[in-house]
Amino acid sequence: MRVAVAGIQRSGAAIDLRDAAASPSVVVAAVRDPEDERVRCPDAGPLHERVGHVHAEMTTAVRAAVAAAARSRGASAPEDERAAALDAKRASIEIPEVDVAAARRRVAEAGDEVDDLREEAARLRGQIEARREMGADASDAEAALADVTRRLSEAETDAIAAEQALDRARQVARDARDARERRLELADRAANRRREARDRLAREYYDAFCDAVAAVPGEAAPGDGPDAYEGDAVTAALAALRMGDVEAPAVLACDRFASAAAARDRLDGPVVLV
Amino acid sequence: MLLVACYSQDARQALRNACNGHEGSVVRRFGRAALLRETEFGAFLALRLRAAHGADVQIERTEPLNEYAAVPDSVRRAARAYADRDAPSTPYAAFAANTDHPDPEAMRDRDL
Repeated sequence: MRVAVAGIQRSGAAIDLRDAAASPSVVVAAVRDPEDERVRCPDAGPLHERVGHVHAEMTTAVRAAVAAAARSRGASAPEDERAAALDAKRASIEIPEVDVAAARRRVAEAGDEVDDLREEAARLRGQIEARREMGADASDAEAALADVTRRLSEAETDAIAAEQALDRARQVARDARDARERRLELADRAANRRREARDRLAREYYDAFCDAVAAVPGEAAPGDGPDAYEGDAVTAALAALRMGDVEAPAVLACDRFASAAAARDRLDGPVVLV
Repeated sequence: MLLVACYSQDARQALRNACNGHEGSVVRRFGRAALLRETEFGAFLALRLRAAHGADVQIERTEPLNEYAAVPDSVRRAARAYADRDAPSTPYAAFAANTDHPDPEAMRDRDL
C-alpha cells in the first residue's frame, strides 16, 4: 500500500500516520475508493466496510462481522445459491413502462382549460344580456361567445380523451404494480435467505472468532454464540479483522497497539494507524 | 387521506423513515403502506417518496366509507345476513338465490 496524505508519503503493510494531521475518515474513504489516489491498495470488501475503520465510537454487529470475516476466508453457505436464484428470477421480471404522471397532468390541464372557457362563456353571456338590455350592439360579444363556445367544445372533447388515456395508463400501471409486487416479494425472500446464511456462518465460525478475541488486545467474553458476546465494539472489530482475510488496510484509530507493525502482526493484515 | 404503498425495499425503508420522522402526519401504518393525513405536508411526504423512488411508490387519495350514505340498504342487509348465515360453507350466490338479497353479478356491475 502507498499512502499520500497531509503532505506525507509512506508505503508498506504497516503505516503509522499518528504524527500526521490526517483525518481518520478521510483515510478510510480513500482506502475504500479505488479511484482515490491518496491511498493505493487492494479493493476493500464487505468485511472492511463493516469493521475496517476501528474507533472508539463504533458499533459492531457481531453476527454480521463474524459472517463477513468467514466469507472473506472463502466460506459460503447453502442458502447462497437459493438467494442467487431468487435474485436472477427477480431480475428476469419485466415491468411494463407507463407514464401515468403525464396522463394525470394532461387531465388536470384539460380540466382547467374547460373551467376557464366556461367562465369566459358565462362572462360573455352576461355581457351580451346587459348590452341588449341597454339596447346597445352586442355583435362583438356574440362573435366572441361563438368563438369561446367552439373552443369549449374542443376542450371538452380533449378532456374526455385525456380521461380515457388516464384510465388506460392506470390499467397498465396496475399491471406494472403486480410485477413490482412480485419483485419485492422475491427481494424479501432473497434477503431472508441471506440472513439465514449470515446466521449460519456466524454460528459455524464462532469458535474462530473466539480464538481471535483471545488474541487481540481488549477485554471481552465472547460466550458461546454471537448473541452471547459481551465486550466492547473495538475488540469485536479487531477480532473480526484478525479472523478474516482483508487485503485493504484496516484503519485503526483505537490506541490499542504500540506500533503499526505490532498491529499488522496481531491482525495478520495491512494496517494504517491514525 | 393519502394512501402510500411501496413496491421496493428502498422505497419501503424510506416510507418507514418518513413515518418515524413525521408521526403527526401519519394516520396509520401497514408494513409497506401508510395512510397519511390529507394536508399539504402529507402530500409533500408522499410526493417526495415518489420523486426519489418513482413508480415504486403508489399514491392514492382515499376517504372513509359511510355505508349508510354510500351503500344501498339491500347490500348492507345482504352483507349482514350472509355474515350470520347458518351454513358457513354456503357461497354467497347460492345464499342469495331465491331471496331478496342482490345477485353478486349484478352488484359487480353497479358502481357505488
